[in-house]
Amino acid sequence: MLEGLSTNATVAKIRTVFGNALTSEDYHEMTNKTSVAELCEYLKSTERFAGVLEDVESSSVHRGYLEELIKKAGFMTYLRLVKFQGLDKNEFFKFYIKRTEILQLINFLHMYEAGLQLDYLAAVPGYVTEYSDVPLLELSGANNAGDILRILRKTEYYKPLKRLIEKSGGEPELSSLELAVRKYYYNTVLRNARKYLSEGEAAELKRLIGIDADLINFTNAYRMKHYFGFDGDTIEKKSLPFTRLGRTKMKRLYHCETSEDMIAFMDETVYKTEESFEHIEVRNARSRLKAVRHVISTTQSAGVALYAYTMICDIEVSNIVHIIEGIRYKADLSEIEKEVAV
Amino acid sequence: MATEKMELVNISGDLSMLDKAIEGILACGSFHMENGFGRSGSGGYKPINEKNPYAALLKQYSALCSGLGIEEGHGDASKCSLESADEFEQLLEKINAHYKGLSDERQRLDKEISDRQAASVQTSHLKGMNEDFSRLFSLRHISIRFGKLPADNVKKLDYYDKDFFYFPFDEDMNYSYGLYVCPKTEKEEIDEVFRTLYFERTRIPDYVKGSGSKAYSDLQDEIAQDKKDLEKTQAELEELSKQYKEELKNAYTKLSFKKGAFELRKKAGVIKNRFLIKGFIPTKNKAELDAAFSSAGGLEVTYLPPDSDSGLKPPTILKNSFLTRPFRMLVGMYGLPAYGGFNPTAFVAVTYSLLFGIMFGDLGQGFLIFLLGFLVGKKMNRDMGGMMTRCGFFSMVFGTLYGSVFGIEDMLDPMYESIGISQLPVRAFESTNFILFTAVGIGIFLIVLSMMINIVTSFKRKDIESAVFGCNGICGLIFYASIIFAVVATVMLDMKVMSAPFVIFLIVIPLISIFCRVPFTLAVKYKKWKLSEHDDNMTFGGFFVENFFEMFEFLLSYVSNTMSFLRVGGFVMSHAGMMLVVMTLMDGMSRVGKPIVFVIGNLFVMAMEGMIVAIQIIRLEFYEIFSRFYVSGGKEYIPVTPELVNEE
Repeated sequence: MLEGLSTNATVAKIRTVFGNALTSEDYHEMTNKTSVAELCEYLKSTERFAGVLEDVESSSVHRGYLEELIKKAGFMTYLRLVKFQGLDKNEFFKFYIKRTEILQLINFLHMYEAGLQLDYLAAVPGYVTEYSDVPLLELSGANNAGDILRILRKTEYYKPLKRLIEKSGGEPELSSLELAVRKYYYNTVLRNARKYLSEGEAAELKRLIGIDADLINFTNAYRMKHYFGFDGDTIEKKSLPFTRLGRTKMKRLYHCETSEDMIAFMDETVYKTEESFEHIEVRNARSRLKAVRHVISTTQSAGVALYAYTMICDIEVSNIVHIIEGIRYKADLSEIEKEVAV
Repeated sequence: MATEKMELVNISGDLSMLDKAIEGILACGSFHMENGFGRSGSGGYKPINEKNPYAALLKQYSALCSGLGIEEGHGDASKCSLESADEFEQLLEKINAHYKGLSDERQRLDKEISDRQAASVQTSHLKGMNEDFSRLFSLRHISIRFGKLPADNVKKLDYYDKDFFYFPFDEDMNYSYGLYVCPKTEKEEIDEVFRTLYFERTRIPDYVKGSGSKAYSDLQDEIAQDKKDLEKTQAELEELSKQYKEELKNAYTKLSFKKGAFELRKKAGVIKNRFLIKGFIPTKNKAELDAAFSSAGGLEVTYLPPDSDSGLKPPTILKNSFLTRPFRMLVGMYGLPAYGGFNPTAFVAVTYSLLFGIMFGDLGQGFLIFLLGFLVGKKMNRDMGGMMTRCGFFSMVFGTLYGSVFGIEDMLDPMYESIGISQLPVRAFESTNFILFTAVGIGIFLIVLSMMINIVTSFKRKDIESAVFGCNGICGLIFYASIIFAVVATVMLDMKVMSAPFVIFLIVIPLISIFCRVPFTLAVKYKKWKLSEHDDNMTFGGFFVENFFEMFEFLLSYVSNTMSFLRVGGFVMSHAGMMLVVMTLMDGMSRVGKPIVFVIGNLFVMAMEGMIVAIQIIRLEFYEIFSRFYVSGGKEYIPVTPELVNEE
């Protein structure tokens, strides 16, 4: 109990930092900008991004680098929060570094499949390599699955990948690798939560991960149905085995006849959204945001609050990247504003 | 104590008349719009799926305003003669023709200054280099690039198997400043590698010749010249801004209105070439709607009873008099009553003002709150100001009864003595028991009154369970009143009232009725014996356990709600106590300090206690009173007005 109480300051700090999150007014202002330079200048004026963009020259900054710095802002905030009470020494609180690592691995696997592994060197954010024990930069030199395993040999991702690569006889399918890495991530976070957090906190986190997984599964299922017409069993096989909604309901979702039926089905659940949307990702980001905001304002657990906060950071990044792209390609920014998850 | 009568309105016509209909609705200003599609009775009407032609334009206007430093909105739309999206676009193009050139020039100069400043940073690190720049750039086999590389990306360079060297010579939080050299034959390839790593090249201008220190000083001169040019461009932009400011503001306001009005089209339902708009209007405003549509031929306006479309819930407007109107704010905070339901604003107005007066009775402080109420009402919030004037008035009335003026408890004594009253009935520290018993008495009265309101309103809603068998219904009232009577008679009046018939008929039977309220209600309504309305499998054990705990909660709430009113008496004494502290502090002060302590003390007590009392009464209203009879679930009435459209 005392251990739980000792992290109350972190919970309060997370709520304070959460107060600096971008608002719909911020997004409105951002969609009024006509160039990446103006947008960068605006972001520099916000408390959230002022620090990371301090030395950046708005008029000459590269769009890609601006996006990377915005992602870095979330990562650095996470580091600041875990170091606030020395929680970075607790294995559970390394979850965001792990999440960043698995996203990088997935990104690498995509590039590897396309034969672009050398380009991965430019794609991997530099700040990640600073804090990760995985030799991500070395991966750019991998020419086959054996090389990948050799580079990852001393990391925790070796075993799950090895099992899959051996089972497939050398070069496994990308989607199964991606699924395996994601499954490994969620299982590790849940295992660490059970080990290093209280029972109540672990249960709360399980629910939050269930929400996260439900919405990832829904997004993927929608895409698989809408663009490729996959059947329910295939979709189910390619989905994460974590859920808040319940396995039966998720199964019913996967077996919907059309993608429109899927949306109608989800609108009957807690993931219902009122606002109109064009892209399924935006719809689900809104659902995720709604759930996560509630968690941040009610939880007493630093672990759960931090996990929820990092989810919000990811949504913010995605919103800003969407706006940057809109500005760059001179899209109708009033339409872009409608597609912002806030 | 009622809600305003509403009528359901259907407006239909040819699709080409839709804008005309929306104009009429906006001119009327009291039409609450609903979706005209997807509801029962909408006859297959579908929403209009069209892009708002004004949305993108508004964004461009917004960008132009922000570029020219003009505050958006607050213009006079009536002074703008533009109507169609094309006309708005033409104005935009006209202003842009001037603006674009200047804006581009500003951006160019900004970039040039930034480039030169960056070059200046580079060259500042090369001041000691005696080699001529022109010689460096004219090397035959080697290319040299100056610039900055994100610091995080420097370590990636080790992983490239290419022929280049990178020499960093400075670093800040984000960047590493340096140069790279590579063979001219591989220049394109190496440039591409650095480009993907976000290397921002600093071009050393061709005219920069000579040594590092000369290059540095030349750059400083250039930057100074660019800054002068930038100031000139900025001045021209300001001139342009002055020239078009009013026109742009007026156009922006009108465009914003047009965009909002166009959005209203999305609420209309369409089938083939016909549209349907649905909504509600207060009956008293029907004439205004008729007047707005009198000149628009081809539109059909049909008035129907408010409940004629089962898919639409009429909105609620609370009907209040001048004296009680400000208290609608509190009712709104709890949730509006359903259309046609009981409007408790008057009840809240009386009880709130009265309780505030009792708890914060002070003639002087009450008068200040009364005056402050006018100021708040005028400058900040009308309802809040209104509540303050009424509460201040009651505070003055009770302050006069207590004889308290700015905490001086005997200031009014001479006045009372002059009219023959030698001793005031209420003195905070002399009549403690009287104050506390009176507070509980007030509580009992308000609880009984709340129960009676519940009985009447429940009968109106035909809710037998709540009206007769509920803990706030007839049975609850009999039980509560009997217990109170028994306690008062036995303890205070020394009467023996607890006879067997009294206990059986006035306590036991009402209790059993509350316990079995569900089966009794079902028996009355459907002449059928069932333990639960929705659960056919409810066992007697389940029923008993569920109701036992609920019963326990009811009984506890009778006691806790009654005792809760003790706080009313508590605050009477707390106010006097706090002022006593102020007076004691005053006594210890010099002649100069006394008035200062008096003023600050009074202000402190007014602010702190005033707020606490206000919050405590809200608590009493919501928990002890509202929970006994109030059924919310009403929908807010939001008339479509030009102001609302502008906000959107």
